Amino acid sequence: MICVKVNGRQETLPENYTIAQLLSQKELDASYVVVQLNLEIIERSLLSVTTLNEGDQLEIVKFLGGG
Amino acid sequence: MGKDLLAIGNSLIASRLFLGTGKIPLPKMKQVIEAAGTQVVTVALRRVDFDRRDENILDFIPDGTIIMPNTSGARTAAEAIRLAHLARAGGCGDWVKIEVIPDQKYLLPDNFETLKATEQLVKDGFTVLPYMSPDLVVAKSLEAAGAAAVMPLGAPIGTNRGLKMKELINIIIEECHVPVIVDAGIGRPSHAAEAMEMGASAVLLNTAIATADDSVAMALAFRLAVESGRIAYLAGMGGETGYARASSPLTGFLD
Repeated sequence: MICVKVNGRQETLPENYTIAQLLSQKELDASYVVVQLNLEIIERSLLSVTTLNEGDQLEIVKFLGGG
Repeated sequence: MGKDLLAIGNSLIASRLFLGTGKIPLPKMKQVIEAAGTQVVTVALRRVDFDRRDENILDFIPDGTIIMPNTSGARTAAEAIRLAHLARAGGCGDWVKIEVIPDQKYLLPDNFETLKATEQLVKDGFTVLPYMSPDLVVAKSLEAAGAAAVMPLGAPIGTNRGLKMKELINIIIEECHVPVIVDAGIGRPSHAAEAMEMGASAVLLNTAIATADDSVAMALAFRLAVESGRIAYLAGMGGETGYARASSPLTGFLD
């Protein structure tokens, strides 16, 4: 298992877990979110081939109402 | 009158009412946007809250609407730049409203950090619309940096107090070549009409519509006010005088 920080919260995940797997575990549609891994934006096409590593910091953001 | 279109970036826009989507319930969103006739809406970017199952706001915005993500939440240029890149990766195009706000009481923007963010994001290929405190020197600097428009505030965000900064906005309208969009503080249709009569290129508002009892009707009221103010500006308003000038002939009176 590995420890990863997701949106500021510590999460324990299996090794070789991809970002796409994490999104589907969270029931998030990848086309609605933007993912930044250790301050680098991960293109949607790469979510299913990008695996998470111990100590990674992940931000998952989405659009909402704003002025 | 021919088509009076507003050119920003690579877009030609017929509606001079830009709309913020904050505080508008999603099921009402489409109706409000359509009543406003708006073609440009702002959205914010935030962390996904895993404890909530939210719907996607983009599903409630009519196709063809230009989406302008804001950088709200940014307190520095670096944070605004990061948010802008995240937003562009979200696939809504390259428009961005720069909002750098260190102060939570009045939500006044940091013009210096806003300028820094503008310089960088223009280089990065964005269509950059900075929200700013109305200051001519900063507005000219933003223009020189390649901003697609400048967006001075009329009054602090969400206050509905109208064009408290009128004199300074007037100077920016006179002196800047890029479109001037009055953003924030507009609370009534008459405020919006006033901004357009002054020669503003557009107005951006959110709270005045979102918090109205009937936000669809209020969206229509603002649409008409913006159109009315714009037509009046183009028509060229008569000047003011200190003394009365009779409208009816001063001859041919009866004895």
